[in-house]
Amino acid sequence: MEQSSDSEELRFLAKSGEEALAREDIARVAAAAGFEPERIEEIRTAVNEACLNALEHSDSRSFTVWYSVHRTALIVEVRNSGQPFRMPESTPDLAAKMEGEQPPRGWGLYLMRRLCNRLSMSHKGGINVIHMEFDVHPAHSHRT
Amino acid sequence: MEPVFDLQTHIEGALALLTFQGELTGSAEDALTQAYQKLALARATNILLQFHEKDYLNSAGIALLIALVSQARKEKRQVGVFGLSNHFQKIFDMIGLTDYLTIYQGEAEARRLVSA
Repeated sequence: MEQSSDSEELRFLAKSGEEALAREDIARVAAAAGFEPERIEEIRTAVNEACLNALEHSDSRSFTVWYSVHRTALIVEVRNSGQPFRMPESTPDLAAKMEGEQPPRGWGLYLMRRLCNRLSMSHKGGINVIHMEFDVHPAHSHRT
Repeated sequence: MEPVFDLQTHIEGALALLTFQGELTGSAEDALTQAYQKLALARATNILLQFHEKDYLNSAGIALLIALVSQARKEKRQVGVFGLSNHFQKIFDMIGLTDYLTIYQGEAEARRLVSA
């Protein structure tokens, strides 16, 4: 990927409601970067879910959202200090949830995966990182 | 700053209209539980969920809706939705929720079809 033209790290308090501030900041970045409104909504949801995950697992008073704008993509990383995430092994099963066989929650990672083009998660030095890439033209790539 | 959320419940005979405003998150659980108890007491058989274009739902809010629809299905109540933004209609479709509830294009259509 080519050199970023714009990148910044934003810091938020690890408390409820801050995820909304983070997602709106990234939505503004995406709009300025030329993403279509429909795609901005997807970015908003994916970033919101990543931030909720950070809030839930953070052991400090803050978490950070780093972004980098490229000609073809927007890269967003949500970082928090804390224990590693425990990732669900399978895709949520709505039929099982409807029947009460699974709890109704557990859609965050699924939404992140579906709404960004590339997703990776890591834990290094006590820091959880959710790395998401959003292509400007998602039709020309495939989502993982 | 906590997300702003409001839920109004109106019972009209067999129809319960739940009007959401703001941000539907996990913190809305008590409000939704109370709304469901109210409509169950009134023996409403049709539930319409009204959203607005600017409303926001996170995954925990969606989970609350799944729990509501699940309970409604067990008790033979129909659930419909109108007013959702295109984005959240797409999310509902993505997770399969549209197999369990009906999305209407507007209130008039919703009222007409649930009373048919």
